[in-house]
Amino acid sequence: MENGFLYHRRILKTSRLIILTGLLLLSPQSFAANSILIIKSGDNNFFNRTVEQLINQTHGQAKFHIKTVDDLKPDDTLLNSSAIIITLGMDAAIFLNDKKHDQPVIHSYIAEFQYFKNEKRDNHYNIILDQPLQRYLSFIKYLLGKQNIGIIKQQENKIKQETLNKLSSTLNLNLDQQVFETGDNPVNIVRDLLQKNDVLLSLPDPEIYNRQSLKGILLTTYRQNKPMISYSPAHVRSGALAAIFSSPETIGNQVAEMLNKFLSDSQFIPTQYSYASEFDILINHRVARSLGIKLADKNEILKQLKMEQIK
Amino acid sequence: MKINDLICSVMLINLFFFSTHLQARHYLAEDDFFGESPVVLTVSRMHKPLQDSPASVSIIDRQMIRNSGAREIADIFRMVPGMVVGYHYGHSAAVTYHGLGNEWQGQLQVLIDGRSVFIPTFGGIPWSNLPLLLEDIERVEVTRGPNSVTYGSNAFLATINIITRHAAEDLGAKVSVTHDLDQDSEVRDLYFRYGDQHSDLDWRISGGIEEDDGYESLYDSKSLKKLNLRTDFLTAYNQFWTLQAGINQSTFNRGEGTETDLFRDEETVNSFQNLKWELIQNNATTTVLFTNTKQDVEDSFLSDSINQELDNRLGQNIFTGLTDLTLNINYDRVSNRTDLEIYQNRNINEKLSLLYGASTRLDKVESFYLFNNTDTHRVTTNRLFSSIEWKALNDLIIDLGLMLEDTNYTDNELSGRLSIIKKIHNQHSLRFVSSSAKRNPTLHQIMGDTRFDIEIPAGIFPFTQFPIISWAGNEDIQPATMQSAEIGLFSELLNRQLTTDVKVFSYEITDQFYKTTQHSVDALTGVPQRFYSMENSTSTSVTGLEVSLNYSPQHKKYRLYGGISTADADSSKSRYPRSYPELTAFTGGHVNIGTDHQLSTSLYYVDQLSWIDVSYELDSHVKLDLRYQYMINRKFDTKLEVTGFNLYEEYAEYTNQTLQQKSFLLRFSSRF
Repeated sequence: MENGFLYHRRILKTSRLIILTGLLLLSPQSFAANSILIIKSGDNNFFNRTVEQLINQTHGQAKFHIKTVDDLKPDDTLLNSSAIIITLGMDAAIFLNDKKHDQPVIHSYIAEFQYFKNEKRDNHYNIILDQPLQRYLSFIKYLLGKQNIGIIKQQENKIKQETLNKLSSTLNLNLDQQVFETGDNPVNIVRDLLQKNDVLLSLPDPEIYNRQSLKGILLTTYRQNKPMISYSPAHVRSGALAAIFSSPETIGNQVAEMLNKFLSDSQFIPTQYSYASEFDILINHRVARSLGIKLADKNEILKQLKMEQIK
Repeated sequence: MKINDLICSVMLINLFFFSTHLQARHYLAEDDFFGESPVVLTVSRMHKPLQDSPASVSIIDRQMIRNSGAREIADIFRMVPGMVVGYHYGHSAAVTYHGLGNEWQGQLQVLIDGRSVFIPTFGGIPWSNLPLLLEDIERVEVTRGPNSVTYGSNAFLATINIITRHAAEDLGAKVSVTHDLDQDSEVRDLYFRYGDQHSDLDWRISGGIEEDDGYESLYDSKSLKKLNLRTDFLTAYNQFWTLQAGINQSTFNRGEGTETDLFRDEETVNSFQNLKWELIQNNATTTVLFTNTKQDVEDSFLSDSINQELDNRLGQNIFTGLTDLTLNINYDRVSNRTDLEIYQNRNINEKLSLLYGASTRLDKVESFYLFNNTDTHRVTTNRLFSSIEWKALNDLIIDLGLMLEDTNYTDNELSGRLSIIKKIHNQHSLRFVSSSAKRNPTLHQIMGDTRFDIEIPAGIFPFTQFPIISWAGNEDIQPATMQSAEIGLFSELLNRQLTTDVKVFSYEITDQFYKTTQHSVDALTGVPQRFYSMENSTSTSVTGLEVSLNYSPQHKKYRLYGGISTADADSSKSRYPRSYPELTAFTGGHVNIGTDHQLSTSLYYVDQLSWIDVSYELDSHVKLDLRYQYMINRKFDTKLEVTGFNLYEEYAEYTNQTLQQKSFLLRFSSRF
């Protein structure tokens, strides 16, 4: 009997231990003790800058494993043992979306159009690479004081008229949306759009703005003596007048902020997708000079945009 | 190079790039944000803002070209203040700035995408024969005044820089057909273009046929076939290559119908190759440009009897009544210009930028007619140039340029330009410009030897070859020199919708070339000779005022532009001031009626003048052209245009013949 009693107590004790261990593993405190897996889509300078900033901002609360998509095998143990997974870029997001994981996943470097195309998961949280439309528009207003802004969208993701009207009314500007259909030449659309508008605002969409079409688009805007304002700092180096964007460091900050909340608050549930709270602007002064455009001061614009964000 | 060769070259080039660039690429958003994106608007592709320009510059854009209804490149220069255009024949245009105009104008520098198209044989620009299609032009920048510091000698009175469109701007196909509506001139033009892109390679092939019967009273029909290729490609995000090649085959009717100027066909092939490489770095852009142009003219014939001509020359009745003597007249000539240029634009800091470079040019000319031998004559020109732009204050720019040029026929020559630009309230730029420029003589002016040896029957003279000399070069001729000064005010008004430029100018040309008649006696035969040569014996000074404006309201419903130029010339030779019209003016513009209709008008006025190679005193004239355009389909840019030319009056603009008559053209164009 005693042996049987002891046997049962031992089983009970062991079960309690297993349950406690399980509970411990699931508790918020356990995040600190567990590892964070960072999956980069590739090995490049801007991902590395983000990772560096992210690690600095978590102040040693976590142990990081940094891998590129090419380094990881589908059955890599890190995929299951990591408490939180962070992806940088679309290839990493696609890699992870193909698998089922219960732990939270933070996707970064995801453009808005990609987010809407991706399969949604309850435990996947996206930090959107581009800026909210209103921020782009405010930026143009503060930078140039221009009112007639042209944008190009595809039929499937075009902005609703009521949204356009609301934004136009709020910001006191005219927003002219042209629809791009498959097979259209974006250069022709830009040419028509700029006949009626002062500035082209490019919004991320690889069907419209890509390495091939960019040459014709930028040359067309320049020929018409009109500037292009972009979502991409790379486009500014190519010849766009200016861009508002989240830098690799600010993306690192935002991911770190979300990660820290996960680590410190077991109840924390972020929104499925969020825009960058921090941003920077870049101006091509050579283009401004050639177009004869007098620009507002960069710091003043940033100040106004940040004040607007607080409101 | 024949057109077939060019087509083969195009196919080979494209095959090469298809194979090397046709690689599918997985799109990554993050690359689009932070990756390496090609620098599209490079320094060379962007023009300097006019308010910072160290000289007075006029821009002719595509809209202006379209509004003018022009089918000849020369006609668009009527839209530049002070420029004068005249047609000697339907296929022979002359363009000058202010005066000193003649068919073989050697005082303008004309470049197409940086390639000099000046013909080194006896100078001038073959306007109708350029391997260039109007539809391919993006814009034309005309520097009004000397610009030797940038482009060397011959950028003397003005510089015309024609810039064609990047291949990425013209994807897909386009066709345009032009025909006359009045049957007199029998205009039959066809233009076609196809452009495509493959990864980082963009290419465009364009071609055309241009035919007309010329002026009613002249034997000057023309038939041209043109084929051009442009390829723009990247080998790294900051390394750009532009490869261009083209060929132009023409048949021009020539001749006045006299014994020594028979009605005949002149066959010409013009071809070119351009290769440009640009490297963009943080604060510097390095450019290497290799260009080659070739002109091959075939124009030879056997004259009719020249007995009367010889008697006239001798002032005696010796040959009349004898066996008909004929002359083998051979105007065949081949000229070739090859340029290699390297330069760098460097921003030292926010206030200081520098441009410096070097170039070497080889001109080769073969012409028995011009030199009385079959040798290949060579001229080598080497240049070193530099300019510095210093923003001394927020509202003050100082621009200094220098050019050192050396040829194997002239001494080292230095040209310079100093500009001081003072900005006033960010709306006005007041500029003070002082510059000097050189104009080099052409090879024919230095060492030309144009003579005809006529076989005559034995027994008339103690010799059987009767020499007639018509031109003898002057090896002592020196470059002409210009000293120029101007004060200009460039303004941007009405929220930059209205731009105006006003300038007062003064320049003096010294050691100017003057065509003289020489007399001598042939040493071997004792036959008296009267021939032409060139000497530095003239100086001309000119003062004047120019105003230009461009009003482009933001609503785009209409546009207006215009210009006016006055010139007061004084010279030691009376025919030179007569080549300067006292007043020239133009105005043009368009109005859009609804979304599908457009009316445009061009009105030009030229005061009395006399072109220096024909010396007819021409009355002032007004040229009025009107154009109507109907947009049939906006998506495909399908248009129908009707243009009426010379609607106000019929007039003479070169010789005393009233060649400029009313005419109407119909043009249909569409992309697809």
